[in-house]
Amino acid sequence: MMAAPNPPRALTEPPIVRWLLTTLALAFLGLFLVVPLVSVFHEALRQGLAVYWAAITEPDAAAAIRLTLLVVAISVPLNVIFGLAAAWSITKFRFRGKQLLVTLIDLPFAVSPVVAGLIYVLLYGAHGWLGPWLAENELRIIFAVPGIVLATTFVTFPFVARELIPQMQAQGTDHEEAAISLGASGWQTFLRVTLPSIKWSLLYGVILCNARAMGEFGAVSVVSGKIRGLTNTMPLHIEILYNEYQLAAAFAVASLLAGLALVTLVAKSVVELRTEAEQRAAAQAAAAQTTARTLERAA
Amino acid sequence: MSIEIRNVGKSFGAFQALDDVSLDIATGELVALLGPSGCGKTTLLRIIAGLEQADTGAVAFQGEDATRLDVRARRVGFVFQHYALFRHMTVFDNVAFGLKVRPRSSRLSKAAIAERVHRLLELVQLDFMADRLPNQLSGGQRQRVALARALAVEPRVLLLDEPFGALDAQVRKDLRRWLRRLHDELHVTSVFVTHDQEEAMEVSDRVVVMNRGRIEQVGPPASIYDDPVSPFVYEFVGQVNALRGRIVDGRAEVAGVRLPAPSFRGLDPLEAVAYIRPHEIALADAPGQTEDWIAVTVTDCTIAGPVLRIEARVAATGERLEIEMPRGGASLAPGPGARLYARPTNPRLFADTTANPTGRDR
Repeated sequence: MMAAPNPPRALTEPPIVRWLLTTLALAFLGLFLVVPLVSVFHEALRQGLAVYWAAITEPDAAAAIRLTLLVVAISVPLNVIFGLAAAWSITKFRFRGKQLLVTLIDLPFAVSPVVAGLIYVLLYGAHGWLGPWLAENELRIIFAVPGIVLATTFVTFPFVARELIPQMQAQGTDHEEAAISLGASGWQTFLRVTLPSIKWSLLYGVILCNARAMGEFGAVSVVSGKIRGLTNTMPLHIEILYNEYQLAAAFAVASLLAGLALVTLVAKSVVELRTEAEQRAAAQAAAAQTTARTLERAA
Repeated sequence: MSIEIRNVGKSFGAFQALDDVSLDIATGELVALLGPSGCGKTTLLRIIAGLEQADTGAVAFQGEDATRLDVRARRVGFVFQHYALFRHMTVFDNVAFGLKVRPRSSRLSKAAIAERVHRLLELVQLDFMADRLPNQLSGGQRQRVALARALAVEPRVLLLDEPFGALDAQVRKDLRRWLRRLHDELHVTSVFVTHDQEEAMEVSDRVVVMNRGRIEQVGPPASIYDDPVSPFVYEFVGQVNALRGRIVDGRAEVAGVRLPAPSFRGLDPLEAVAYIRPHEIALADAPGQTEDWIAVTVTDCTIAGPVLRIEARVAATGERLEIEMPRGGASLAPGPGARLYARPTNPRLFADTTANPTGRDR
């Protein structure tokens, strides 16, 4: 019988240590991730499907779901455009202040979402810098949908750019220069050369951005005003239901967000697998080439 | 299409990449830009292509100013060191790219594009690979596809940036001979960048030797090798012995002998360096009539194919001297320790710039 290929002895630990470490990791994962996730669905369905269905179709819940989808539909495309523009300028041009831009892109990661929300209140709120002017022109940003979109966009804007920058940096500018020297316009170059080469990174960034935009709580809670049926997003709606001891309803709406998280994870894995497969295929093709060449020379 | 480069300068921050470079390239010529890394050769090529803007000076095609013309309008073919093939397109689509992106009014029909692409793939002997993706090709094949792609748009000028730099030695040799033959067929004005002097010598009609953002020398390969105008060119192109000495009275005192240096009369005394090619040295058992026979002691002798390579030490100064001669013509095969006399048949003297800050030569 053939033994399974084990790593060299020097690199393994005694069985007891291996067993302990693995158990620890699994137990941690189960306790902090799997149990809560299962309990969400369990609580949501405890009083039966009818209650579950009522909780998520009740007008305020439906409004919250619609608002969340609307916010996502605006902020994700905005961040795709911003992310592409930022990644493009950082990786393809030389300019002053590039490093500053790279640092600024990370700002939303460094700032607490609550602070992000407060910034917008300070800017656009009734007593904020632009408040009086907005009031005169009857424009509402804070405690209205535009504020929620702004806050969500702010919090999620690093996701796409940060996925694209490393890949575009690694690819350099040769391909774009080749396309332009062949007579392609800037737009043709982007559509036919750049976009196909970054599509998987872009999709990955969009998935992450989307998940975060749907789930954003802190910044949105500051600017929303939590008006039922009007400015409540799903996370805010869940909090209100929970505070009113409507546990089954709270968990029912929460299960939707949790379900979304699961879908995101699956989509993310699929994209990762695709990218890996593509890279492996390229590596294999290269290896096959080398072998063929070696054989050719030997012959 | 001729190319005229007038007083072009370019700097990146504090680094002066090109400093007042002027060069004329005739229609149908194949020119090599040769120099060590950082000498500005690639920058010059990119300025010709329009991928880089010159800070000062002008570039003209066929007498027509192109300095402000953008890359698309220049109609140049550019071949990159790492091929820059579009990974997600087949070989066919790569070559067809430049034809497909044309505005509808000047675009060829689908059939005409296909016909031209296949003709070009035949030219680079890769028609059978049309449906492959670039990563299924070897390096040499990829570079040939890149060349076909650049030629597809019928460029007025073909520019190649270290086209063989990423290939292994044997493929490189084959491909550069093939490029030479291709150029003889097509006669498109071509400029290529290389740091490999052998490549520049073998492929080009004319070599432009560059150093630190300036052109050191321009000429046909043979004249660059036989008649370098500066110590830099001497040392960069081919093997050379450099012997330090001093010029007094119109003669150079080098390695314990005197070499004639009539052109230095009036400038002496002057520290100088004599450059001697290893194969431009005569060897004998005894000194001849002239006073330029250098006494040497052989330290090593190796046979490299058809060549006998002798390493010797100059008796008077201890400097190393490398001598090469055809093996068949060597009547004596000296062993280590043998005392011989060496006579430089074609020495060249340059003022020693490290000793004379004014740096005048000849």
